[in-house]
Amino acid sequence: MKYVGKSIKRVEDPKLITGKGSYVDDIELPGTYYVMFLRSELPHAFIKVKSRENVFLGSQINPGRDFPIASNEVTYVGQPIAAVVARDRYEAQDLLESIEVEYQQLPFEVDPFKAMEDKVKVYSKLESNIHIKKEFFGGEPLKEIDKSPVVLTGELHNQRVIASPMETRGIVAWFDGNRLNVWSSTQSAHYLRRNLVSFLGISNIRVVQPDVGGAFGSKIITHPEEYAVSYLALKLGVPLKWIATRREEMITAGHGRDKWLRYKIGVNRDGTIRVLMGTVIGNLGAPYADANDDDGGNILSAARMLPGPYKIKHGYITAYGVNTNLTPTTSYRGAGRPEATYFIESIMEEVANELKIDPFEIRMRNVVRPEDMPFTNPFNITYDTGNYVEILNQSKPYYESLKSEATPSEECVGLGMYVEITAFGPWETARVYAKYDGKIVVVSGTGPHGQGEGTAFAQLAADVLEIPMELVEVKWGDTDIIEDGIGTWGSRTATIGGSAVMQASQELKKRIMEAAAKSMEADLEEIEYSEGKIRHKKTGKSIDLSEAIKSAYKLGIPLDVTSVYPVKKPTTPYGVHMALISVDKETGMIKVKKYVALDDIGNVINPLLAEGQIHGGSLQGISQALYEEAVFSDGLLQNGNFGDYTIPTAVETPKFSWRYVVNGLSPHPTGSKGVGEAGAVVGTPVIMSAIQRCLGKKFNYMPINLERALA
Amino acid sequence: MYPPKFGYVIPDSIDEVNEFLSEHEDAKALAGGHSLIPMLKLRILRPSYLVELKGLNELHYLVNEQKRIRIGALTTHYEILKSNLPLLSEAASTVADPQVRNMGTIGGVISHLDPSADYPASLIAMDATVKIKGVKGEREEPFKDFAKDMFSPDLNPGDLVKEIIVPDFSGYTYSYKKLERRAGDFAIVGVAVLMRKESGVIKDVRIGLTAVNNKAVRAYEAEKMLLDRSLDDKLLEEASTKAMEYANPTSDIRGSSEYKKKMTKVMTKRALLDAYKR
Repeated sequence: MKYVGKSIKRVEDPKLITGKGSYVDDIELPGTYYVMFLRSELPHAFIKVKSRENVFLGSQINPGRDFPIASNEVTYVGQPIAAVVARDRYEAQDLLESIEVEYQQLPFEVDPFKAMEDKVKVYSKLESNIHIKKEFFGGEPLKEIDKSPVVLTGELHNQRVIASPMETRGIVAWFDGNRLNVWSSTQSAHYLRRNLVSFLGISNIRVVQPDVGGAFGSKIITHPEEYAVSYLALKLGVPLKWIATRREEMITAGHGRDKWLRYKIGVNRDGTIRVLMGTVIGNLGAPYADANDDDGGNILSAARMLPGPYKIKHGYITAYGVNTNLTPTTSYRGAGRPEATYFIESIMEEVANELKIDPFEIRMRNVVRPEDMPFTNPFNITYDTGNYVEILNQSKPYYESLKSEATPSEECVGLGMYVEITAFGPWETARVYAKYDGKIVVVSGTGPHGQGEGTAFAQLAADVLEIPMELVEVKWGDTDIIEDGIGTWGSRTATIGGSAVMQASQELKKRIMEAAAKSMEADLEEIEYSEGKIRHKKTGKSIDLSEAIKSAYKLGIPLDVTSVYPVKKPTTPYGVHMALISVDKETGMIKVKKYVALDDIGNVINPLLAEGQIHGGSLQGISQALYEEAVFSDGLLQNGNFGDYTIPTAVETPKFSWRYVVNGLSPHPTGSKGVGEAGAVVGTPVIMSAIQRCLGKKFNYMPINLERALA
Repeated sequence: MYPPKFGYVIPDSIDEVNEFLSEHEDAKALAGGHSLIPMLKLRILRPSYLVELKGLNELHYLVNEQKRIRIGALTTHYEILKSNLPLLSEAASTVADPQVRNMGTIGGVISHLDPSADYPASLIAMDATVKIKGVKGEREEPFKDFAKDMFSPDLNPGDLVKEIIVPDFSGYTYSYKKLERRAGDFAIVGVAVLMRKESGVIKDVRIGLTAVNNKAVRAYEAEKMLLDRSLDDKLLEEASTKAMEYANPTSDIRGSSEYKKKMTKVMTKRALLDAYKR
């Protein structure tokens, strides 16, 4: 009985396919009032809001400050400036319409390059619009660029997109007279709790993450509305609910990517890259600290991961995070790493075209060789384990086969390679305990919201305890049921959360053995544990797990273990993805027909679920290349609904196939690396590579919609 | 997301609908609700009352008579796509997505008159007639006159579209070509073609364009070029270039005016060729 490595079906499914999930808007408390937010219609202005009954202003929620709720000055369209409280959502909407706002319009800036000049301050209290400036330097880039026989320069834009989870943000908050209870559509109950504790100045807060309908990075941070609703719940003493409408969601949350690269690379005539230099500029949008801290880190990731899986020893990158009068950006699936991968893969394609080298060959000539592993790139990121040459070799037949299928002149094959950092720290928790009746309960400090780690954790715990998975129940998302936690993001959950689960399960197993030994009047060395049974080596007498658990209770041995698993370094999966596309050269319609992915994500805990992550991520990556873009005019989002913001349907989705190889385990007990973001990291450049081959020209912007394909 | 307050009327007959609508000029008739309710949810419209048509079976039929087909205003897209009508069934199959097609009605589409709607390209090509019932009785009007401008049907207070009448085009070949960014979208460009051939010679041809003008238009000059001729590459090129001249599209999130104009030609070409080959 071994579960890890098997395609076990999701334990999460039965309740979700019978409509018995409980998402935040399914939670009903008696006497709930509904909250809605009045939002700025201008990108930058001083505001005066007339106070009236059941309307709460920024000056009440956060006096003297403009975040989370603007009290005096707004810095983006959609920024909340007042909350209304009403008996139901219809009345709340009516009340919103009755509020008078006086705007005194101020100059605004949405272009980060212009914002960097600081001629227009996007917020009057900023010293500079430049929020972050950081330089990364490795080797001897200046010397190398002079020595390079070929030097190429260019600019690339990885456009702003919107995460668009099917369930928007939402929160229910209720102060019960003793403490504040919060249910939120969030990526981590514990992280949200810590933020609320610091904002409200009270620690008696319980946060529950109920079922969550996706997030893709957009629900990591604590949003202005979560602070405001929690504050109002404390103040008003009645249960409050806020659920974002889709338009509200699209205007104010989930904005990601939006980074530029201006580059200069030095290349040998054989296509090997000697040096990579340039500037990464990220448009952070308005200065909301929670968001800027989040995406600021992503800009640094984008800069430091620029060398990709290639053996580039010399580099010099300056990274800027710049505030503008747009919606604050946050993490979106990949969080900086897709931008880096898109940038370096676009550059590889350019080098291949410029020097007339096969796109497969150019990568083969540049990848880090197995003898160089672990390899530290010039910006001090270490690629821990794996064999990049080997995965390219294994991909080649798929690449050739797709190429042979392509109808000349209208179909093309593109490819992309990536290396990614996953499984970030600083730590994660797991609690594993045994009920008197033999039930094993696993509680994780992570916050799965669709990725299926409930199943993975059950597999891991069942394997450690050598018992059927049915005996294991997995829970998460309640600050009351485990000491603390970090959360689900950075493709960390199965690996870091899973390692904590293994640690706690091993400790529980040890305690059960202690109890068994005592009850059998044996020394610990005299007994052995196998398949949920504890056997006395000499006498052959054995008891099963449930008996051992019962005796532990009788002997007063606690079977409730919490482990904290600390993390030193991220671990680096990698892979090669390919796609066959067709281009209708009259209309510009591009279709992705087939998509083949090969990944090395270390030990694969559950291939079925890992493949699901690759399909989902790759489709989002494809969509960034072909369909998605947040379009603004005067700081106002022009496509804030699903009619105009085109996320793909089943019709636009290609046939996926996935293979995995295991040439590099992570150092963690699970041996696994992250896979949650990989597809989104590499999917975009794969499609761009195919498009550029089909159309015989270079694009430095996306998406390549119908019209742009003809441009 | 949240409509404003409104009153709600469940009438017993069409007469009652006419009467109520004429007495309450800002009341709106509710058919499939897949344009009206989205507008209410955005609070673009604030009617005093909605008048529910769903129970009125006398508006819900599809009769194939000799030489003409009478379609009750409440007939849904799904019912039209299942009914094997030349051209119109094909157009119905491209409207939005399955759930919308289960609810949306032809009467609703033409009373709403979104300039990117699918039906109008076909209805204009088919010389469809609209039967309108008001407090003073019924009248019939050609679709091209009924569609006065975008979102502007020729309906007076109290009027209701009762029926759409299209000639029977049995023996014609046809094609509706819709260019869309993504399945379920409104048309970037839609071209409807009806064609009657005798041994490869075009004896009648009708070309309707949607999404490229305030309202659907017929490309008459292009039709004339094709009459009494066999289709070859040169003629196809000329006729679709001519059809393109009828397009006066606006730039929006679906594409620039120049792109849509070019696509009018491409889609006309494809629709003509498709109809010709069928």
